[in-house]
Amino acid sequence: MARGPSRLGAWHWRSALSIGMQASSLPACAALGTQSPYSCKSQRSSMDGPAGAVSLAAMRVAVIGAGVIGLSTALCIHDQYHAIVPALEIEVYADRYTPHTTSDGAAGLWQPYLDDKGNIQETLWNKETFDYLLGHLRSPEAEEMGLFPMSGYNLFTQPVPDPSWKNIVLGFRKLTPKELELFPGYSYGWFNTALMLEGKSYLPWLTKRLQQRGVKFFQKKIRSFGELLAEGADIIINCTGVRAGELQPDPELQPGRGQIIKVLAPWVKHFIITHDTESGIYNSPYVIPGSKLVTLGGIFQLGNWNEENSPRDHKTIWERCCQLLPSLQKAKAVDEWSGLRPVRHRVRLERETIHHGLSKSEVIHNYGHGGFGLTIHWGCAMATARLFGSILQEKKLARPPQSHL
Amino acid sequence: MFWTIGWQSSTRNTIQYLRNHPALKFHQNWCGLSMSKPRIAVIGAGLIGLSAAVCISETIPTCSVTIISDEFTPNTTSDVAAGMLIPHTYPGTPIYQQKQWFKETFDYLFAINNSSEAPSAGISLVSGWQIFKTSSSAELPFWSDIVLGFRAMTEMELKKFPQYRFGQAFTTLKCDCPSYLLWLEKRLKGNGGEVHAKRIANLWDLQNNYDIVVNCTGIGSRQLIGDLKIYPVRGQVLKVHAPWLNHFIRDGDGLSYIYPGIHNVTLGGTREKGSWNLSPDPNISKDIFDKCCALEPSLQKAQDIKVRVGLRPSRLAVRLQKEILVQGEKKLPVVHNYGHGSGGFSMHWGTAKEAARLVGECIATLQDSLSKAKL
Repeated sequence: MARGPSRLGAWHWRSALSIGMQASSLPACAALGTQSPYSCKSQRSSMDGPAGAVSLAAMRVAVIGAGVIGLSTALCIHDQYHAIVPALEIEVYADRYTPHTTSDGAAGLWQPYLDDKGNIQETLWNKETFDYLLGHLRSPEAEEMGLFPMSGYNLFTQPVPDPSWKNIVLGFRKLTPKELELFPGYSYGWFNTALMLEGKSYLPWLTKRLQQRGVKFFQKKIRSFGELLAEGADIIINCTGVRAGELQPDPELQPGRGQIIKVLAPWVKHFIITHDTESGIYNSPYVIPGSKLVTLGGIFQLGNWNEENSPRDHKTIWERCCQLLPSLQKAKAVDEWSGLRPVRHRVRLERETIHHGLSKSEVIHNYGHGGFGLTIHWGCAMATARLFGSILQEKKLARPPQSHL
Repeated sequence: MFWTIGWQSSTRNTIQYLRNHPALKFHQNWCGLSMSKPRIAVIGAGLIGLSAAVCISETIPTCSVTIISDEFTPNTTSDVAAGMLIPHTYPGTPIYQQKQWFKETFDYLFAINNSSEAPSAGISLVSGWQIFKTSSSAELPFWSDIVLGFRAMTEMELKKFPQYRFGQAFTTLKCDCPSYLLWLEKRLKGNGGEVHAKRIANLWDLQNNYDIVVNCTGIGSRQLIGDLKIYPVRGQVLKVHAPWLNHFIRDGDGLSYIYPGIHNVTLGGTREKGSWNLSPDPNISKDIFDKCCALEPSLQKAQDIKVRVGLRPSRLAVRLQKEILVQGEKKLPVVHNYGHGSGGFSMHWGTAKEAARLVGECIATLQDSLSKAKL
């Protein structure tokens, strides 16, 4: 998969800047044509410090990361606060944009892990996401979003307890004996209707909405929070996924490498996810049809940073999926991809105060969504927006009694 | 010993004498039976003709099977249908019989679906919903325990269909045409069968070259054999490109439906009793599209919309029986296998098996007569 030069199409950073320059709220020094509108220090608004009163008239938010987490969080924050914060400026910084993000490679099936490990918060975020997407199903936007319903099978070699999400999805039930005849080797399973949200469609849809709202995009690898703070960002939203450790070491964050083959098999109309308690989640074959191609997978390698496709993994996926679904033998392989799931024992969704010289800023972390980013994204975006709101509240409290608004 | 040989030669002479005697010439074809394979002509190359031919060629390998038809895929009535295995009830056929035919068809296609042949045969497994605007009676359809996972829809599921009060969710099979018909044809030829393009105006035209005729002419039976009990029920459908759809949706009234297949989605439809009109009606097309979009709004983005019209060969009961046609001295055994109306795909393999069984009975009867003639 080519990472290549910064080909962003409509949102190349130079054109993003020129779009930004049309926005009325740009500081005057942006006309100097510098790389970022915020390099002019005298215009920078700071959170506190001896320089003067906090002004809510300009609020600069930098979102790092343009996968599903970064883009949805940016949209959520904009939608909730642009009316309350008149000069809310959101900028997205990322080294990779669609179709080169982790979210683009994922099949896009809404399904959490089987075991929520007692993490009720994440189950609630999953539900919030499902309900939000379900509400969009009948809208004319659905096709453009890459959103559509998908039914299918979860297969096991022995009975297992029902999952935390059984009442979130539609029509959850156990498989009948006749249905199990479809899958020799599996003796137990579930059937339910869930949703598909294809990253390759959803991310452009989010991007378009963000552009319409005046959000600016920059293709740039951010190497430190300080870099953005120096340029005047008031709040940073850290949605850097698997590479969050480069900004701030996080021993709990690891890559969960996956590899998939995309095939042309339009006769497959259900997802089929097998489970093997010994090999662990996603290390057992799965078949997930999309709007055009079917994703074959079943690789989960913790700690492996290699984004190159492995011939051995290809063989594993192909053989196991053909064994699961013999009709796949006639399928034509069209594409192959490897990606790194941002694995963490729990999602990191929290505030942190970052000091930069004498000033400080708030960072909201929203990363570590493992193999369920699309599944949980909206719940996390809303939670991040709530944290953003609490920061705004605190800033209001820090304001002197006389308002200059 | 001498005496035995003499007896045999005198028997041979007798057979020769009988064969050549003008009054007994009508036995000629039947005598042919014991010498070579029984020759079966199947009239009609739609789903019913092809499946019957394949079934006969497999259950009675000693016979030769030839399909004779004026229309072939993609121009048969079968090609217009979506090919969903959701039966319709024939008022004149006992329910246990329909259930048996459906089960045989379902099991047969289920096995193909689970094999690597599925894509070439055009077979796919599809889940979906049948929804009703009025609360339905508690009665389950006769096929509910044959399809997979049949159950009532939940409240949450019904929210997707705001105007509907009740529904059923299940998983069933679908046969896509022309793939399935082409696959059957290939199978028939693999078994040594032949296919001839020809219009048959009179079954007696076949008498010289065939021993038994299997009549699978669908709506054509009305003219071919004068069955006035069969009548067309016109169906107009749209075939569209909407690959993101993978669930079927069927209004319980049977008029509006969305059936996603391998390469296209069939949107329907109409049930116009007595209409022979094969020309598409643009007003009907618009009506179908609008109604289906109301069920599934994303269909607004469907591309490549094509319209097809078919005449369902409707009858109170499927005619599946044998008949000996007589014309003077001549006799022609016919096995009728037509009148499947809306339920062709759902019943085809069951009726094909029954037709093959009836052909077997005809062959036995002919061979009986033949051995009687020898004596």
